[in-house]
Amino acid sequence: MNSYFLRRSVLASTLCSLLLTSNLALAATAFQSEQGRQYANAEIIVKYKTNLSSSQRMQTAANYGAKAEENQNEHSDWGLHRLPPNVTVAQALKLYANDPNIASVQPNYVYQSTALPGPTPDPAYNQQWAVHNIGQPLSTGTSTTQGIAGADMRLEAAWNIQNDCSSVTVAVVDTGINYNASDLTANMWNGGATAPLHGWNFVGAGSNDPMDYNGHGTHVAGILGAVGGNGIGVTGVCWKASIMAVRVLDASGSGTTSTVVQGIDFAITHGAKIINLSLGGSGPFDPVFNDALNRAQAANVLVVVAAGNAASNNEVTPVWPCNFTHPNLICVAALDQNYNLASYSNWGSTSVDIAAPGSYIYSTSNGIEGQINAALTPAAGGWLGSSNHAAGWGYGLNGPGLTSSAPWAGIPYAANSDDRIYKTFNLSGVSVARLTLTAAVSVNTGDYFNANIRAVGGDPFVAGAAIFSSSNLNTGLVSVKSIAYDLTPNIGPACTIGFQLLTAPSSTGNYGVAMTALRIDTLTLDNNSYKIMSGTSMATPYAAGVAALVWAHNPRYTYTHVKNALTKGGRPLSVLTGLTSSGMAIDALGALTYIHPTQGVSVRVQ
Amino acid sequence: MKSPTLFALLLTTSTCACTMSNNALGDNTANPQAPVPNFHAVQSTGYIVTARHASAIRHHYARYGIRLLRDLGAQHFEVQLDTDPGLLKLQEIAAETKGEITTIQVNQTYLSF
Repeated sequence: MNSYFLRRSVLASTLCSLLLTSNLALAATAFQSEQGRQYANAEIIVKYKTNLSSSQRMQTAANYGAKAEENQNEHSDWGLHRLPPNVTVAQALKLYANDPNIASVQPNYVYQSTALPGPTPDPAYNQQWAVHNIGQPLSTGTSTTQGIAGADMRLEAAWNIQNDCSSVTVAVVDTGINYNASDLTANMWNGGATAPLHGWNFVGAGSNDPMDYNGHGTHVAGILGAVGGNGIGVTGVCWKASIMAVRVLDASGSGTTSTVVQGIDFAITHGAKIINLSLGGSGPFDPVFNDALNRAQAANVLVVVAAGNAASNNEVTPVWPCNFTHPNLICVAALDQNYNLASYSNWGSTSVDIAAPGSYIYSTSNGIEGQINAALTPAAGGWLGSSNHAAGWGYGLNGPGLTSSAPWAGIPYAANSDDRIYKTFNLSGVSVARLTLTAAVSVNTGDYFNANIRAVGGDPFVAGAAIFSSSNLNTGLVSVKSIAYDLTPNIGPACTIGFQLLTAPSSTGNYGVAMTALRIDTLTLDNNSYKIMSGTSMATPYAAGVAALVWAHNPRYTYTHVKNALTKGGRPLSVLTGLTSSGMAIDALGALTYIHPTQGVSVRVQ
Repeated sequence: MKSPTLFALLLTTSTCACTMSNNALGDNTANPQAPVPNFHAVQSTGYIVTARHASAIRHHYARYGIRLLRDLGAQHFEVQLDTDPGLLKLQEIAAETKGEITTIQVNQTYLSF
């Protein structure tokens, strides 16, 4: 660990334990600054002219409505005074300056020992405003954004206490993780022979390979546990970690109760202490999901979940799992670089517990994204008609786009037709491909607009698989519809996508079909990719990472202790009042130094 | 009857669904919320059934064709049917199984945030 102390004065060292033990108050007050120096806004340091007794010191403080710290060293000339709520530090400095018992007075400046990731600095460290916000400008590709210096999670100070979370396995239940990413691979969970690829995949038929074909889970994992100080990319909340990859969301970022619940159960039974769920849905209460969280609670597993990105109140429109009421669940809203609630973030006075940085977060990506926009012109666009079937398809029939059998010229399509057109795309070398198409469709009952795919080239309606089949749009309805489809199983040098208008012998005709847009988004897995993302999904792993730091530092804690450390050791933000149950932002130093109230202790006076 | 202008309109509003009361352009009524029947990807999310045994599900729901039956643990089973009679009908059937099938719910969708 490349740890060093920035500055430490004699005064600071004598008050060090005091600052740490009163951290909760400090977290709330240390945001004030004078010429760039932070100080506690309800405290001052005084130097007495003579050695006063404890009672005299207290009386001196009482003269100003303040309170002298009781447990300070009576043999020291220095003392800490806590100011009344209606007196600012600046006012107190003026008042105390004329006191005959006071030699000098000054603010109670904040000094923190800090640690930066080492031995080799991570090159993108300065882009991580949530870790240390110095008001640095961040390029989003189209614009530049920056926030307020000091609006961060105080991780550098926290890392001096704890930066290794490898004793606490955190399950990222998400789209999977690119476990080969250079910045993650050393911090992946060791699943042994049972799970040699660091987790499990519950999407589709399932497998032991939780590779991420979306990118969301890899980004979440990097926030939580990108290796610190390895000279690569970014620094995770945990420099060392044990990240379990549990894939429950597909390449489009979508999953179901069944996949999510299986993922949670896998995490529980394979020793995860914390589960990160940067996902959600707004359907009805989900009893099976609820039961899974009961099992997590019984296993002393903390579940950290995202509040949602609809800019809505979860008390009015519940979002699951955020709105579940399990005591082992923490729901996290997102903050922007100014430590305001992010514009997209959901909130909830009882359902959302806390907030954490979520906007413009730079973290690991699963690969390099590309895009193919297919020209929808039969001649120039490379579209081919199947023999005996292509006559009807054309381009620009009363508008741009690939249209079936001339309907938009005002002529209904013909009965008993089978018009096909298809195009071959070279997707070799690509890891994931996703088709998005937009079409205007109007077909009768018994007539069909079909889309098919074939991995090996040729007419996809001779031998291929259905992407969709559409019929019964016969009541005067003209629909413009977008549809997305995962092409991944058909990736290769000759992936053929085709469209068909199939009409019944007795069809009276209708408008038919017009393809107005066809796009293929591709992903090529890459182990050294990074990107910026925003969302409560990004805020969630910041909270989960701090929870892992706390638990690693206090192995005997229960989920209750860890949750309390986060929610009660956080930084109060007035902008969160009424929007979250705690009104707090995650504060790593505050959480790590939070002292739980003593309970269950009885004293007998004799 | 089928106006060329209509298509141009559709192209400029490529995310809406437009309902025509007849073929006259002036009668078009924009209705972005209108469902688009039978235009969907070929897949089903199905149901999650809580039952004592998988055999109970096979027995009581066989009439709808069981495309997929997957044990999720804790007596929960993911079920996909060839023909979907709807949640209410499946719950009606469950109520008549003398406790062999205790609950059934939609296999809900969750998205990355």
